[in-house]
Amino acid sequence: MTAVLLRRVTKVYPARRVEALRDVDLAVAPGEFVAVVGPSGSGKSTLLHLVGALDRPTSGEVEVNGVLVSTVRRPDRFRLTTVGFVFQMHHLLPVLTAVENVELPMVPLGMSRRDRRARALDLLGRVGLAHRADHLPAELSGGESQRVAVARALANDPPLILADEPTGELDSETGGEIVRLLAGLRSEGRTVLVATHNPYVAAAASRVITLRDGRIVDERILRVQ
Amino acid sequence: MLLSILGVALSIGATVALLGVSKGLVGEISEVASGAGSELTVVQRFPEGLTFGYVGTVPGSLVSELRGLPGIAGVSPLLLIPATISREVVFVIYGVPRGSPDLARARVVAGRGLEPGEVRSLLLGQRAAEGMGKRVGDSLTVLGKTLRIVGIYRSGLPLEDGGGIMDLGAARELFGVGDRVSLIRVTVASPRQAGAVRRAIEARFPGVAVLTPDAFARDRLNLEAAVQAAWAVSGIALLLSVLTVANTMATAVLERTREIGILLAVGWSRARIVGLVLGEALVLSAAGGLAGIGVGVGALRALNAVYTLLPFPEEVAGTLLIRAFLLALGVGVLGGLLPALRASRLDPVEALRAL
Repeated sequence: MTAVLLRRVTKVYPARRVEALRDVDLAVAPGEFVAVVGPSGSGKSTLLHLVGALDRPTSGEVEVNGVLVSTVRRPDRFRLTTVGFVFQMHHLLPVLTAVENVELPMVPLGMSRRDRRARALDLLGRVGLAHRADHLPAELSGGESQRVAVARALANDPPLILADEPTGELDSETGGEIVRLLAGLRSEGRTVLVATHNPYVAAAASRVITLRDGRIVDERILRVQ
Repeated sequence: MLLSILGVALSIGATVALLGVSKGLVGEISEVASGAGSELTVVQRFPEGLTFGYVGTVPGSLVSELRGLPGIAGVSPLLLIPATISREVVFVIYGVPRGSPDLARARVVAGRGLEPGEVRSLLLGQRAAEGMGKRVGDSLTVLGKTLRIVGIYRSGLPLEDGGGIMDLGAARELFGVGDRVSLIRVTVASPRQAGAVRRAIEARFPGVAVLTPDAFARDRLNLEAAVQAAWAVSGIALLLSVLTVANTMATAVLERTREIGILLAVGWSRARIVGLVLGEALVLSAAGGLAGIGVGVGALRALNAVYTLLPFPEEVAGTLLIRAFLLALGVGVLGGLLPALRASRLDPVEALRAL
């Protein structure tokens, strides 16, 4: 079974008259770490949004773990249980502490407050931030915020992690920490799909896919699983 | 945010104050009409229609005739002499017979009670005495007749305490009303018989109408119109506060577009987003509602203290306060609904791009 499967996926934004993706076919195996590279506007983010059910393709099919995402009736439920997002701008809620931000995806699952807190603290510990649990995002550095975002992405133990320019706002050292964190997720059996400009991120991946003008123009396998 | 809470507080405050006054007046008149708990009020029958506060009169002889009817435990007549003392003050003299429940309720706090054979003696209500600066031994001119204040009483009903009590016979004689009284309170032997007694009285005496004390206040004195007017004014104020809440919540949603995008991205459902925004609107309106109840009750107390010659109620009925709070919550739901729906329909990708 493939973890992620795109069949002739096209995405058009009529309002902007942009064809963000054109006839893209892609298969990602479970546990793969795939970097999607390409210039700005090449369709990297759109690809991640379609895989994460944040958006629907204009034509074609997107399948994740056997679920046809492009027509899923409850995309919120799908995102909640199957996907963890990490964005370029960490996207933490500024009024919530680090641990509360990590708890956010657990809230709709109806977990008890105590269980949520325990799991969130455990996840913060895994990204090395247990001591910063009660800090607000404004009190955290860029790297720390992004690590909180990684912990939040893992909140509901999803099999797929989607990261959109996760190091875009970070210096190379802190960016390197995030790359190591993401690469480490592979060993847990998770599939990781990263859109990036950063050659170091791409170098850590098992496969690099290059997009240009909405098409896959190159594909390189760096590591055999 | 604060402006919204203030808006809800003012509208709920106005509702509590306006309905407190109008419903309070209905309640007070109903209590005066019921004396000490009588179930029925016998008044002159008019053709259907508005009477604009005119109570009418019934023959005093009816009192003894009613006493003889089965199912009736007590009968007590009341004569109302409304007398304008100044432009602002309508002063009511209650003419009551000796042994009337009104006299039992009116506790004499200064001077003495009424004595038999006194024609120009008046017991003055405490609020009226304070408002007019009168004391025991002073005189008061009502409708051209000079009365001597022999005592000051307090019954606890602002309407009664803002008036005066005279002996029924003396009042009839002095004000020339002959044998007539304004209304007769009837206490039935068993409350379950009230309907039957009412029909029996109306069948036997075609010239009278038998009302409940509440209907007497609402229908005969047309105070229902005042209650409805209070609702109408409150309604406009409440509508404005709905708009204020809607505006605040719409701004909040706009300012937090990205946060809502984050919640949608991590898997929160659209229904949960609706709940989040509505919940916030409810917290806001509940805070405004509580503050408004405080404002309304405070305003009524202030009115009661300042205008001692007007029958402003001292307290607001608990049911009115509960209804006012529920109204505040209703304002929150109505004001929050559209912004909540709008928030739930945000496109997560677009929302995440918002600054």
